[in-house]
Amino acid sequence: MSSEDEAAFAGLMERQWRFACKVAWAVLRNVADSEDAAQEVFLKLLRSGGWRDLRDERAFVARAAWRAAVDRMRLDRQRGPLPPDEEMAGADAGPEAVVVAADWERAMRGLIDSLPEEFRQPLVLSAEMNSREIAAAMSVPEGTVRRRLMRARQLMREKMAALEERRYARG
Amino acid sequence: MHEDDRTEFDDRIDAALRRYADAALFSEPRVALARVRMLADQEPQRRSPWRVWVWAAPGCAAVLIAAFALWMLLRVPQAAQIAWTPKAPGVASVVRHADLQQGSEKRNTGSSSSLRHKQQRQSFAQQDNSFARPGAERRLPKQEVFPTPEPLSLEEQRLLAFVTQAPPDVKKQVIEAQQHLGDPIQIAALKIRPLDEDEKQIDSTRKDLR
Repeated sequence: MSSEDEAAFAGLMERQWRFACKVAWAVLRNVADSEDAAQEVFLKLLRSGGWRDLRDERAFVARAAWRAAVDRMRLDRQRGPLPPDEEMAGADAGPEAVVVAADWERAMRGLIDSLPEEFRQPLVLSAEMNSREIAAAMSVPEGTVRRRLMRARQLMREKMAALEERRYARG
Repeated sequence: MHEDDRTEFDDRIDAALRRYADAALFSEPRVALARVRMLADQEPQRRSPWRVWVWAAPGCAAVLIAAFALWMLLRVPQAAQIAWTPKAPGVASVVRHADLQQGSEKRNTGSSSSLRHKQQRQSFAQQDNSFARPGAERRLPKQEVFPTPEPLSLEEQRLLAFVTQAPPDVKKQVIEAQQHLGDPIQIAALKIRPLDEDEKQIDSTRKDLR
């Protein structure tokens, strides 16, 4: 690989590494696994040399990272998944305890983590991509993505309302 | 979602989503780049699994073709052979005649019929190789045998024994007798000479004794 190619590949990783990690993290919720999935994407790109011909590198990286993460999640289900990062996921503490402690951020994380996967993944990806990009990455119709996003927000709203009712009832 | 429908809670969700993944402490891109390059240098380019079949497939095909050709060669029926050619009478007759004599001795000594048949079968099996099927040793492939080998009948055995064992003058007489089967029987004229004195006495003595 020439020095120009090396510089170009380094630029690609500089631009897309964290994005790939975030896409993978939306599925895996574990930093180490997410980095492994993203690393797998760039390793394949480097070996195949296909990174030189990318037209939309962001869309390609999003799709490749999401597929790598899904494959890794399937393997983890067979082997026994790694636990989500504790400082990231509020599920361990429980949404009720988090709300009672008035820690909104942790409460929101807990609510996001408590969503079903089909709603949680597009919702988390929506922080980085629009619905069309999410649809391309997940290989589902854009309408499906929008419907799931709406349903995810509705579920979070309902859960948060229920938790606040309990909080005020106690307090 | 329309902007009018957005609530304060939606803004909170968006803010939480932005921090959701940002809070994860991913490696720096240059660190990840170094790791990817190291892995790319360490692991050789994995060969495509189809590359193996480039050589394996023609090899398998050649083996299959060779096996099929061999099978076809073994399967082709061979021309029928005349397995049993009559041999000169003296070749097998010695054994056969001895067997016949042995069988007659056994019969005279009162041996059982089953033993006699068994010995006869053994003697027939030993006496002439022409009775054995030519493909029996090789077992496969089975070949056609013509004529079907059968042991000689009793009449054939006796005829063979006579032809091989009888003295030449007897044979000649039999042949001549066969040639003159239709001729009338000729009896030579009898010439009886008169009895002398001694013969008369003997003849009278015999009559007295009776």
